[in-house]
Amino acid sequence: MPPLLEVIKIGKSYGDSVKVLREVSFQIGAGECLGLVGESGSGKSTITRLILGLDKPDSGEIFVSGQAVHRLKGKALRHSRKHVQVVFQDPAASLNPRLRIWKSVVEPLENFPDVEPKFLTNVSGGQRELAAALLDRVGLGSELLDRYPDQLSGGQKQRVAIARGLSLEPKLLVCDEPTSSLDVSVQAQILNLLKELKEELGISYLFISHDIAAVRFMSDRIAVLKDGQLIDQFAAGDLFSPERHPYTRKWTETPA
Amino acid sequence: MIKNPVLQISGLSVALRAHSGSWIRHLVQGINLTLYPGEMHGLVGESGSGKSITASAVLGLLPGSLGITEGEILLNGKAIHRLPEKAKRRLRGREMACIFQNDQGSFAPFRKIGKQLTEALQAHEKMSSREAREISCEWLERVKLPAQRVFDSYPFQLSGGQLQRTSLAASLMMKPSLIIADEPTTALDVLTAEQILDLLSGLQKKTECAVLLISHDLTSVLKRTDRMSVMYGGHLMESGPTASVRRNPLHPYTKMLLKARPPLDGFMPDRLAAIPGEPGAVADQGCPFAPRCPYRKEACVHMPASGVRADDHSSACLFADPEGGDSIAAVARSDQDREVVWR
Repeated sequence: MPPLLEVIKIGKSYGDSVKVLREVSFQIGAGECLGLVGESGSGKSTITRLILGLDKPDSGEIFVSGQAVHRLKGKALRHSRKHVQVVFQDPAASLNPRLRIWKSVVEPLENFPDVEPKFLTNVSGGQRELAAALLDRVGLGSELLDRYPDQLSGGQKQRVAIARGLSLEPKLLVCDEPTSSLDVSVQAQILNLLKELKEELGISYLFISHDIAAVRFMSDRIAVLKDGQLIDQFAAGDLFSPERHPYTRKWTETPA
Repeated sequence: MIKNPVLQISGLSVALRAHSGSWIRHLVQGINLTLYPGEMHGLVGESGSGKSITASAVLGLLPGSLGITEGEILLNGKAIHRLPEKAKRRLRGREMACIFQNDQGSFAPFRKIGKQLTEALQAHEKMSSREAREISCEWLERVKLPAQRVFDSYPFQLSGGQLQRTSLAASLMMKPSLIIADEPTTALDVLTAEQILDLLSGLQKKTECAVLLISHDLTSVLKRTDRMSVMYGGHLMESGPTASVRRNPLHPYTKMLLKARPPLDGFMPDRLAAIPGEPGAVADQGCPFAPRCPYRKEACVHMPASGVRADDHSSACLFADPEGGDSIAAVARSDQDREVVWR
């Protein structure tokens, strides 16, 4: 069986001179979480864009469940998007401010009417009931269904974004700094929730963050990106092994 | 020799004013805080805890709808909370400076950095343009920037880290006795943030200026500061020497905050010890943290939390050590047998 996500030697440049990614290769297995660590400008977000099919690599290949995402166009590309969903850093920016919460949550399901997630098969009723079931999944009560995003706290909004990301039962959930804009106590809640969902639903994660402690908590394996190159890749348990790249060691030395 | 404090906040309360002029709601209540020269004091708290309002009150930058209802703020022994706007403006930049989170917002977008720096210098002191230029470049070099290039750049031509270094230079070059750094590294990635904080603590030691570091990032506060205070719902929950707070947190909120962070090394728990509820859950009376506190007792709902003193390690919790029963015994016990599960 091929790995769920296979990224093979992708390269990407913007303009003529700026090389953002060079020969980046990694894999994510089914149900696995890969943590991706890197400074601002290291190319983390470009990797996200390429995996989501929002942009095409200049070179290299990207496979999701054996399907070459970088070659897809039009309908096929759109169709493949349901397999990979994303949760961004700023939950306020990922929810439409004029849409009630329940509409935001079921919007992906409206776009892909053929998708029937396993965890929603025994929900009877209409879309509001589906939305309520999804909110329940992320620990939110149904009293939030008719609210607007600005009536929710940052942590609640991020939970809604996660519910939305899960609604299509994707194979891969890309979490791009999902907790950096949240308070410490809420960060812990969201990290626990993400881990719980991963274990229950068997979804694979690409967990991108510059919080190395959070990456260590979430990930099975960790990859370190510097100036567009993956310079270190290892099992999370080997973070402190003496073979680590000097740059990786810098990350573990910095905090208190 | 005992130094005189740079900043002394005592019993500070800030409230929201209605259109009619009456006070509606307290946002910050009974804050005590003392900073000595060369000291870095960390102020930790979640959204809505009142840490930025406290900073604004010191800087005299409270929005019109807010006002100081009680308490006083002394800067180098002078009461500054009742000064007229013009006098406050003279203090800002010169005696106290501020570094904000949003580095882009600290500079006017369409004027070159050099122009903005020299202008700030000349606004406070009579000096020639040439002199101002020399001082600006000298400070840009001290924050390890290519001085000439940055001097001739527009803000948008610099990265976030470079801009934050520039704000650091801008605030230090006036040799203020107090710098308020309000989440100065939140917008930066970890490695850049470390460099900025390294610079700040290095230059602070040299200039003997006091720094109030406001942050929701416990890690950097624990690592960098000499003393720290924890705020929740507008009240101080705990205050003390950082090493002591870290080793021996007294307030349940502090304890839980310390445990909620995933550990960088050592044993990794399967789930984090999250604090239940939302940061916005604040009790109107009694202890503000009571709605989220698993140790809350009947008394917490009615009795106001005890005040936190500014000098020693103290907490506002009525039951200073909820895990160990009675508070007096807890204080008396030695540090050793109260090894807190913080890594």
